[in-house]
Amino acid sequence: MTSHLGAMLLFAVCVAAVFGVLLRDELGAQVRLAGRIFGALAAGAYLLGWMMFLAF
Amino acid sequence: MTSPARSSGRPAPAPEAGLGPGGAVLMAWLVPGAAHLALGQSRRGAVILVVLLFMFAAGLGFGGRLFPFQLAEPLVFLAALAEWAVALPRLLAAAAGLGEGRVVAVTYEFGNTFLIGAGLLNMLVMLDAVDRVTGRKA
Repeated sequence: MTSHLGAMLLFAVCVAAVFGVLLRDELGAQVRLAGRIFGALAAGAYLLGWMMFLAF
Repeated sequence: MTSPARSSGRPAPAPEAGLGPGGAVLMAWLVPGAAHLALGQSRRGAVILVVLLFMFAAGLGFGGRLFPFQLAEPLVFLAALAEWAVALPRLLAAAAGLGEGRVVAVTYEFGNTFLIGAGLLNMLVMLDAVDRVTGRKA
């Protein structure tokens, strides 16, 4: 895999999964938290990427 | 408002563990998720084990570098510290001659990020294991 976006999404999935299982006890809550963290990481990186592209 | 564990003074240790805080840290340091598995939290431990080992392997596959402890280079030193937080995989990878770091690879920095990220996450896992052994978390 050489796609930066793909590698970033993969990293975000891994980080979200670990935080999800560490910070919540029930399966549903773990999945919801992991989804929120993944969404925040992915959207944040995408937004930051665009901001850097436009600014520099 | 305090949690039930805190209101009764010192929290009760995890009953089925037979594992002290030091043992939990040691187990989680050697193998990510091992302490949680020993505490009977099989799903949590399995997810941690699979995800962190995958991150470490992906980091090596992406051409990341296993950094040496180098006090002259503070960032290299910190990267080494983070990577050593996943002890057994780090040892095995070094013994197998992996992790030389392919600087020319497009994914080199991602490799480092995965390796360092796995270590940093395992530090949190170690703290979580201590919290569960000492009863601060259920």
